Amino acid sequence: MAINAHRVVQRVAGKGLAWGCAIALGAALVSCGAPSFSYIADSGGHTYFKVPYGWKQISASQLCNALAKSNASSCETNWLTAYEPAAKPVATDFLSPTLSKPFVFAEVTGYSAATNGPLTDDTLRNFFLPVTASARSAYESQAGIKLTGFKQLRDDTLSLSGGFHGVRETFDFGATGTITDTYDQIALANSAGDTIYFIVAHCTATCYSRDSTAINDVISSFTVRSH
Amino acid sequence: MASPAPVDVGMPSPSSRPRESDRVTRKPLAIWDRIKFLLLYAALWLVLVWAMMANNPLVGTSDAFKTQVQMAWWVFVLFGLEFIRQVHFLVSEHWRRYNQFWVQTFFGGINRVSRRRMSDWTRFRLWRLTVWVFWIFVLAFVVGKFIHTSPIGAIVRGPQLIWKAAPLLVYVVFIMSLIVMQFVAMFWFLSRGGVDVYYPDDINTRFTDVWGQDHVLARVKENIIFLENPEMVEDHGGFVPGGILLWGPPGTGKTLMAEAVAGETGKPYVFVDPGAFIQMFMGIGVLKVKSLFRKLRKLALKYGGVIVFFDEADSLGNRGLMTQGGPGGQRTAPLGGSPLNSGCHGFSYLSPDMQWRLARDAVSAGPAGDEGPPDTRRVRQIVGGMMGGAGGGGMGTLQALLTELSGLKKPRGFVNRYVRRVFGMRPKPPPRYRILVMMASNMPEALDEALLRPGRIDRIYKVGYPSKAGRIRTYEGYLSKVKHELTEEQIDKLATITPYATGASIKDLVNEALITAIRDGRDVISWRDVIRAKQLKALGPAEDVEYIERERHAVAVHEACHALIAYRTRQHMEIDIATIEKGGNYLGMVASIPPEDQFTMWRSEYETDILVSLASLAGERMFFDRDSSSGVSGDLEQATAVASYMEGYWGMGNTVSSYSTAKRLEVGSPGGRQSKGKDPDAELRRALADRIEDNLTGLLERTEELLKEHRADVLALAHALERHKTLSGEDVAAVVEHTEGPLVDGRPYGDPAFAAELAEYHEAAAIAHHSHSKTGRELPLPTGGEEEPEPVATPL
Repeated sequence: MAINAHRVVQRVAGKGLAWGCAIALGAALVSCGAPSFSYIADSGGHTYFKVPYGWKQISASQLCNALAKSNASSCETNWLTAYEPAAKPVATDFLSPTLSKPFVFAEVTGYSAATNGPLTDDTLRNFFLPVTASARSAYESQAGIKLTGFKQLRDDTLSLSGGFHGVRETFDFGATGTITDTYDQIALANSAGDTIYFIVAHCTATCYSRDSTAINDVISSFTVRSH
Repeated sequence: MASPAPVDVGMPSPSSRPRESDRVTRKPLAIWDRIKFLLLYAALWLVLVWAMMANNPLVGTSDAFKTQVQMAWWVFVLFGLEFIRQVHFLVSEHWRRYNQFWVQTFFGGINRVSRRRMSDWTRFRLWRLTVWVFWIFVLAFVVGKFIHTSPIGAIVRGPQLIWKAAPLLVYVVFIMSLIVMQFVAMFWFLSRGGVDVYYPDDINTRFTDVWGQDHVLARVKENIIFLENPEMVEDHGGFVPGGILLWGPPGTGKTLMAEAVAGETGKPYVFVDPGAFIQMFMGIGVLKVKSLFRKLRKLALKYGGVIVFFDEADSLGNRGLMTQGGPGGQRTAPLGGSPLNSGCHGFSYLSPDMQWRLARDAVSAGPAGDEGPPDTRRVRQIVGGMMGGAGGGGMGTLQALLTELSGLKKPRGFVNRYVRRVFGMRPKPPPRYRILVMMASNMPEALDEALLRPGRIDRIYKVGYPSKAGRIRTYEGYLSKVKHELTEEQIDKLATITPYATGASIKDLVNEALITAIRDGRDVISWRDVIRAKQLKALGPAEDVEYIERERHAVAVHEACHALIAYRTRQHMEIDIATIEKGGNYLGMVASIPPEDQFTMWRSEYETDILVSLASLAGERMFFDRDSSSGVSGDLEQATAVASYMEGYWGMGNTVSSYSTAKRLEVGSPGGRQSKGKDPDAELRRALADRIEDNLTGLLERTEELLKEHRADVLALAHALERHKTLSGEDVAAVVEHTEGPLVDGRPYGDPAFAAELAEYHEAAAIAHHSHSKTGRELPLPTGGEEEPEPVATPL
């Protein structure tokens, strides 16, 4: 009887090993292939979005240098990141108006109402570029150029759980004699009004028309969770 | 006819389990052992997938799986390695040649090469380094996961992380230190001490300094040679004895021998103090033992061997006599026969069960001597019980020592024993620790039997009283360090008259002789100084009490009778000293020594002992008109005791049966029939007492006849004692034989006129004794006169 039991144990052991191998093989096969998206998270700010798999992140140092030159933002106090579908992404593409491929930029930054005035939806619309008419007028008079290429494609007001609110804007932007870029952006503020969560994707109008689905997936995935 | 059913149907024989070394294939693994790591890695990967989905609300299941395939690639690497390992095990379990290749050719080859190229110490250090690297990598891996970097990155950032965490660490350590430091410090300090390490050349004692124990010394030397060249034995399939017990009376040179070992050997020598294991708290002794053996193992590896010496090893105690075997179990008798018996064979010829029964009887009867025969040797064997199991060390110390002694061949280390086993590998055996354990004790029976078994203590040597040749060598050794004028014959004589002298007592005697000489203003030891020193050591300083004349004469006659009968009848003993110097608890004495080593006693010898004892009573009655003193009480006690044992125990009387057995079993004894209504024990005693009395009476009559025959010699001896107070055995012989002795010139005692003068002096003293008056006569001096004798010992 003991000998039989021994054989049974051996058989069971062999089966166990075979099952283990089969499970491992199955899991490996199921997991074969690349994922659809890369998932980006700022755990500290609880901000998430996704980009199509294969888009490359621009290194933090490059991005900071590019932004510092343009004086657009500060690297030290904000979380910011950028992606583009290129083998060797460069930060200077961010401000280039003639991009034939999408460029995604996201940022979480503080906001001081005492310094900058009350945080309204227009403040959020004009956070990156002058979108409202008044802001464009002021910009035109200040810069001495005419934004003849501006065209509002979308203007949605967003109200999310956790007290977050903001706007989604899609618009063409260009001055006279230049190529028109299409921008798709979301700007959100928390209920306290002291933090702005921002994401923007842009490229030429032609590019935008071609990659609108992918760009829409990226911008639509922008999610902020309360702390 | 039905054939017997096979007993092993369906049941493997208990002995069918093969030894590990006999296996040609690998032992099959249990199913759990086959899949546990595969399951672990699979579970780990699923946890990583789950964690990704939980941390990011955008991540879908499919993408989570696919992403973790890329991010957690290392889990698949581990999984693959484990899979290969299990396949390897599976093949090894079924394919003999494959298994033999890995076990004997590959790993065996590595083992052989490493053993050939590296010493045990180097291998130990390499293994220790590997263990360190392993744990550092594990730690780096875990920390790397926490700080989102690679293990290498974690190691690089290690100092920075430690520096950042330092304040917290210091705080935690400080708080914990406050709580535990007092205990740690107390136990640490208590577990120190008592163990001294000596390195070669630290000690100057050599084997040539140990005298009189050559036979033991030769064996001990042999052990040292084996320790330093173990290949001499091991290459031939043997093993080096790992333990020696030196036992014997105090002062016989056991510790000196151990010191000589320390001085001679090229290995470190660890001395364990007898008090090292006396402990205040439970567990300190255990800690000490563990700490000691940790140190020994380290020294053994570093120096290729180490010697540890436990002085007064009986302080380790034992677990009680009755725990050491029982009925049916065999108690080995490493010291020869039973410790409870003083007979010539012990009771080694009896069956084990009978031995145990007698041992139990002996223990329950209390210390030997209550009822048993007198033990001419020192009775110190009854050590059973020991307070319910703890010995001198106690509280687990002995058990810890036993465990450590046995544990030298067992695998050690957490990684070696557990981590390797987790990965299906057997623990590596420890290197060969060359540790020679030496113990010394003058109470070997107090040692635990388990401590003395072969494998722990392989060799047990008695360091007994030195033989005469040994004593001569010892005397020569110590005398060579001082100035003396002793001849070889005198040294030989000195060795003869100090039969139980040990190295320590000989050293003391020579020193006392030197002090005696210096007190007399000399720096050269003479024969007289040695004899004086010996008498001083034997008798102690005299009380310096002067007898009144008639009492001095009576004491002298008393001792002279003893001396004369001893001289005339006793061949197995020689007179060492006869004295009338009053000591602490005696008025005078005649002390004897055996001239040679003798291990059995005969009826004729016991009878002469009784004659010597009864000489005082017979002499007093004869010389003082049937009067006698109370001073004979001790003599009669001894005579009665010896006669009783002869009659009741030793079969030297009129009957054969043993009185102690007859009494215990209540069977009566010859001549003592039991009768109704009477106390059988009393009748037994009476019958025995009558026979003893008859025997003593007969011997007393023989003594009286001898004294009558040698009356003049008795008076001569009494005179010599009155004049010189103390006589050596040679002086007694000189007086009786009328020759010249070392202290007394006996020739005048052969003069009939002087003998008549002594008889007249005695008559006067006897009259004074009866009338309690003064003697009225001066002690007569021989014709020509002798110089006034010097006192034996002058108080400092």
